[in-house]
Amino acid sequence: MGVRLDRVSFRINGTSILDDVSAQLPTGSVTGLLGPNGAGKSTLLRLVAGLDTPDSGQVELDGAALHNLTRRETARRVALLEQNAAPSVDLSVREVVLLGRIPHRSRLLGGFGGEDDHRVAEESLAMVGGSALAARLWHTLSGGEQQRVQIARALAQRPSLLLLDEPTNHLDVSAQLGLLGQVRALGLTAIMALHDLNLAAAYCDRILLLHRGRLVAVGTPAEVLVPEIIDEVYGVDSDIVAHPRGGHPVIVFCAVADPAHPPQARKSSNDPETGSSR
Amino acid sequence: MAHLDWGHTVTAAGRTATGRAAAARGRYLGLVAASTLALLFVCAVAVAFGPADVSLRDVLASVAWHLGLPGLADVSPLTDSIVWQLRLPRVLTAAAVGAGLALSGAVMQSVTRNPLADPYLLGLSSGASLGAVCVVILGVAFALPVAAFLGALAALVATLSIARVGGTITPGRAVLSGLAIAQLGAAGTSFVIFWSAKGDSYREILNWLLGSLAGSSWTSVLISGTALVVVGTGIVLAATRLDAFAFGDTAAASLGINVNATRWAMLGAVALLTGAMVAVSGAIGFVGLILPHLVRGLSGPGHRRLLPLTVIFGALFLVVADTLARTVFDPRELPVGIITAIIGVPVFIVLIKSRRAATWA
Repeated sequence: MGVRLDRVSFRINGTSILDDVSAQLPTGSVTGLLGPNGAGKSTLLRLVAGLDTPDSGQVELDGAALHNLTRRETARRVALLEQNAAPSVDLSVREVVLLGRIPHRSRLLGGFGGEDDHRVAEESLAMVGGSALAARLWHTLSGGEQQRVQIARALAQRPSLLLLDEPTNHLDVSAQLGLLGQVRALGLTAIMALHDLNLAAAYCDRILLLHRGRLVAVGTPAEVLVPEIIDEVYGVDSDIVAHPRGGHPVIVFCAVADPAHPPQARKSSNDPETGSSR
Repeated sequence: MAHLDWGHTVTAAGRTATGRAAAARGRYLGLVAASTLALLFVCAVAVAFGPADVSLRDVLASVAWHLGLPGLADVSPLTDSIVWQLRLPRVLTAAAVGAGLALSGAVMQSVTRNPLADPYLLGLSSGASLGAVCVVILGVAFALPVAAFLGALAALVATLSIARVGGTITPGRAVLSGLAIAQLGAAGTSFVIFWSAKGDSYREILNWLLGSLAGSSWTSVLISGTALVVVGTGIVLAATRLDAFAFGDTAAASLGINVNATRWAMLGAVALLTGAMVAVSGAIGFVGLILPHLVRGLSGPGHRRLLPLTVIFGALFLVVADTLARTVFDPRELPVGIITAIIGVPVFIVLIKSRRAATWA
């Protein structure tokens, strides 16, 4: 059960974007999708969302192969939060959340009824603590509020799987932590593409680390986020320490060597033995 | 826990939401009823309006007699023919054309995510005019709407192909390429009429380029009315799918919409609708641009409410505009496009100056 990626490969114009990715993500787990820019994170999310179909291999959701489902069936099971989404017309928060009911409406007579939709939308908004925002217009919300409303929209789809593409982009620290805490508290199976390794370590049960379209490591944050692997994939030097309260790994990066200002030079200026800074 | 429990207990928030939704629906249905009555009244007044003296009572009596209803009063044959043969077809054509163009604009604005999209600005109307005059020259009248449709479709494809750079179309680029296609269509239309000129070619060129309902007959009512009912019903039934485009293609696809099929079906429907309207009235501008924006203020952006109300207000708007066009400078008649431009251009300027316009380039 949960999500199963079975030897998934995807090419665009003959260029391999994802190559032979396999993984098993249990129901209710929160998975962080990590990797440098261009590693294939967004592409993998699109495949799991059923927006694209793998060239080979398949994505299974609760035992059903995604390519056997219709778009609407997929949309009732999988909800996606895109990066930097903005509507083309001024929508209220309530109207944005109601969009999540579209896959549940009857195709031909979708223009009628829908009392149930309003109830579900309002409850979804309440689940993310956004009831007070209901009448606000989208463009008046802060970035963090917009993401929360997007999560409410996703919940209105009543999905079993939530996909988030860099949900913390452009959010301040408190909004980042609030959002990821929210995602965890929902108890839904979730996969999120993240750039921040420390956020992934703090909020994810497991990590999928992609590099040039290949899955280079899978496991818990403590298993995947080790200096050797981080160096191999990101090319940066780092140390891992345990978080003083949570105990989860914290990645401490060493500044990249800059030929003009080598770190050693700075370190020596602060070196107590030279006596220059004390 | 295998699944998040999507319980069926109704929370207080859910109950309030249901009540509020019912109240909003009541308000909306009241709005639809009031605007429909207003439309019927304005149509009747518009038929009574004009150089020959016709009373509102004559209008009702004549219509009732032709519909086989028990006679209200005697109407002189002259008055009856003014009402039934001249003015009523014109008013009904104006209503259908206004409704169709406004609906076309609303759909285009949604599926292209472009607040400036409109059959006139993006060149469809000129393309349809060119298609129409080509067959007028050949003298095959029944093919007129078909040719106009093909012209509109060709113009649409040309505009969107020119505007497309690296897979994306910005609103500003779409309007610029629409401008080029519209100019080409207008030049082509003028050339074809000029080349084949028999009598008053300037007048005819003006009517195709600026739009006129002067030649309306029951055939015009049939063409524009059929297109409105058939295509319009299809579009209104797909209203929910249009909502899904608010956050763009990927969001629509993740809501279960087949994005490309829906977009091309909708744009095809718009070309059909625009073609039929242009075939009977020429290229009337700005109806499709301004009406959806005005109606959104009343109905909200959801298409289930926006589209029906846009149809009613579009009809209302063009009936009024056409009545002004034929009476203000009586006995001379203005092309109705002049009236719609006088009203539409200021609205267009307000749109360009609006808060969101910075993102349209």
